[in-house]
Amino acid sequence: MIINEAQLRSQLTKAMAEAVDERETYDAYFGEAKPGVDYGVARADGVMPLDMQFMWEYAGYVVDYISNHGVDALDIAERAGNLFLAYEAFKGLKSDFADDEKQKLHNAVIETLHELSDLK
Amino acid sequence: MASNPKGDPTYLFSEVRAFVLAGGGVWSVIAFWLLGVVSFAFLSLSILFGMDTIIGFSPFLPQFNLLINSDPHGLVAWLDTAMVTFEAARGHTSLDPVSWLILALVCAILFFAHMSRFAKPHGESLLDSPEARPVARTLLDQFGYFRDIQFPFAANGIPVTDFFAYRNVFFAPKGQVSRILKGKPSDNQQKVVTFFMAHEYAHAVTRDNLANSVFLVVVSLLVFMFLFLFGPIMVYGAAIMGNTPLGPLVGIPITLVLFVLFCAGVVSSFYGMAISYIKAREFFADQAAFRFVDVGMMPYGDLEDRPRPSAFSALSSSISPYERALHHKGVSLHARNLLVFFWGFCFGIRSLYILVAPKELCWTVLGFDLLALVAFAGLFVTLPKRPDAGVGKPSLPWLLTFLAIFAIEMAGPGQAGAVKMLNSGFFSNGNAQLMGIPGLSLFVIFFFGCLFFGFKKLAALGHSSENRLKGSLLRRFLLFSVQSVSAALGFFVFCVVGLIFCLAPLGFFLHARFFDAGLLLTLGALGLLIVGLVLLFHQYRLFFVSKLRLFVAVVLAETVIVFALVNVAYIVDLDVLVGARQGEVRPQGDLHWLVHLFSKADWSPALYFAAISTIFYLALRVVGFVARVELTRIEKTMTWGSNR
Repeated sequence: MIINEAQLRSQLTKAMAEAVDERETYDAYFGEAKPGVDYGVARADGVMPLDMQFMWEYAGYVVDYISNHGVDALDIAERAGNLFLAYEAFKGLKSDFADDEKQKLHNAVIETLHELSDLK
Repeated sequence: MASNPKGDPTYLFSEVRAFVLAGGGVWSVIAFWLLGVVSFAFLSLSILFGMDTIIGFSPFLPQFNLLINSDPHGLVAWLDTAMVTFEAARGHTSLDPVSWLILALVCAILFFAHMSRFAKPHGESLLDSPEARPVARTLLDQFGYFRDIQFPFAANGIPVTDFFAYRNVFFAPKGQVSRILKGKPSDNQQKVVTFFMAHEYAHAVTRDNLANSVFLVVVSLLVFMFLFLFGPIMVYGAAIMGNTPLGPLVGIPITLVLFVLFCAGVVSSFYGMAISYIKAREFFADQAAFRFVDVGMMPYGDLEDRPRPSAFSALSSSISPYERALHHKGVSLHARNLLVFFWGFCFGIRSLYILVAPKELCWTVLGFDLLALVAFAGLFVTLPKRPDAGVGKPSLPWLLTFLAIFAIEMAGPGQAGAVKMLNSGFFSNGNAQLMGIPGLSLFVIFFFGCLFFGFKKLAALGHSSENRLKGSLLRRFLLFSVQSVSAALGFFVFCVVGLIFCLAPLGFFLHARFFDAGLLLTLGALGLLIVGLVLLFHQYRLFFVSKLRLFVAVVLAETVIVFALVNVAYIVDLDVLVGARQGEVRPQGDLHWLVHLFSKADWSPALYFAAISTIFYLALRVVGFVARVELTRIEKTMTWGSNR
């Protein structure tokens, strides 16, 4: 099965967002883009929340790794723990996630990747 | 410094305020207001002088129509005699306080239409949620000024993702306060919220929404004046330029394209002023927020390696992540576009003024020049710097301003010069130089400026590895053109409604003519006025609000008006032509004459002609609306896409 990179990235982000109870936020920022209501010109629009940014970038990191190294999704699922550590160290993005929530994110990624390799 | 030690009476907001009022930003606000006030004053004068000119010209209109249709060569000789009496026949509306009152009323309507286009937000307070209350309380106590933090409800099923302030309430999108709402640890989220409180408060200090609305009223007046006085001349000019030996099959499309290009250039260079100002204000608000809320992170997220937005972002009021990243570095990509658009804007105002002002008063335009140049100097010094070389300057403003200057030059000084060649009494030398010399200099400067940018772009094409966010530029350009044609058409009907339904009955009442007129006429005028004002208000809103229901209502009303007016225009025009063939002058503009004309006219060709025109009008409007919705959707998707 061939998976589109952009699609996989969204899928991973969505899974993580669901794991930390931010599904609503995911829909608000990644749902269909429609022109909204005008509240005045002095506004800051479409700024993504830090946590969302954190998850989105992490999903991108995993997808990049897969596409660069061409490894099996199942392998990645096993290495996901190291990937997460590397991501945090290199990207240095801030988020408010506590350790247990980071564990949930991590699990969500592994689960999604496992589901994909089961489909194969 | 996000933290404010307990017991310290100074709130964060007062520091932001002091910073905003002490920095160069406040001087740019003052300079911009100065420019707005001066432009408004001279545009108002131009409108009244324009009325005087039309009044002065109207007795000559039948004779002019006769000559141009039967004996164009006789025009030159006739001009000699007409010029002498023209000055004496000029109207005196500019001295009439009633006409000033009418103008003020119209401006007030436009202003309220602008303010009312902003939706009134509804949201839920964080103070009402037991989990969020302590955090929200602390944030509010630290910052001051705001008395509530709310998250806006989704509007029409679309979640709101904007930060903004409405009076003393700060609105943050739900996703940005989700952890606070759930009572989870939220240190970074609180810092981001504080950052945007400082950002929105900086906007509130300089009244940015108000300044934008006021300035858009000025721009609307300018567009109105421009289309009304220069529109017909521009069609004529475009027709001359589109004249090829290949005949009308090629000539008419070229004429249309030129006309649309000129209109789009002029209107978008006026509009560009307002957009550049919004960009400058965003820059200053970000500066205030970055300075005082040291979050140790980017509140806009990771902005490394963001693609540069396409050329159109110079005309779009939303700020791309690329521009935000530049704000963090202390520069702004688009704010200094104001200094380019300035020339098209001011040249338009002063050319209109000189053309319609009485001969002996034309020199007063120097007052406008002086004050506008003072404002320009102020803006030049205080506006944020552009990024260093390497990041290319936006060239779209240069192109649009060049188009605007070209169009104005052709329609104003160019045509006046041509008439002056035929009849030297038409314009005094002094006045001709007053208008011609700045026009020529600007034309030359912008012509070579555009050539320079063009060559630079061509040279850069070869070795360009720049990762630009293009997003179907050609498609958007086409949609933009279609939309601007439809908007120009809408503006024309808007002007017609304003003149016939609003200005005429307003004049009737304010001059107290109802004492002589019968009850029936007074009631009719009152009805006309009410219908006109309601329609005008909604027509104007339609330029800025794209709602289907509003569009359908306004366009249906406009369709009826267009149909009726085309009928009238056809019959009157036919009468003028018949008169010209028989060599006699027909009286025009008289109500009794019109009634007489309609009673004996043959209506079937008129109805046929009007039906075709109305269908054409309707089609253009509908296509324009679809293009507009599609364009908004593409832009929104692109802004979001670049965020991800």
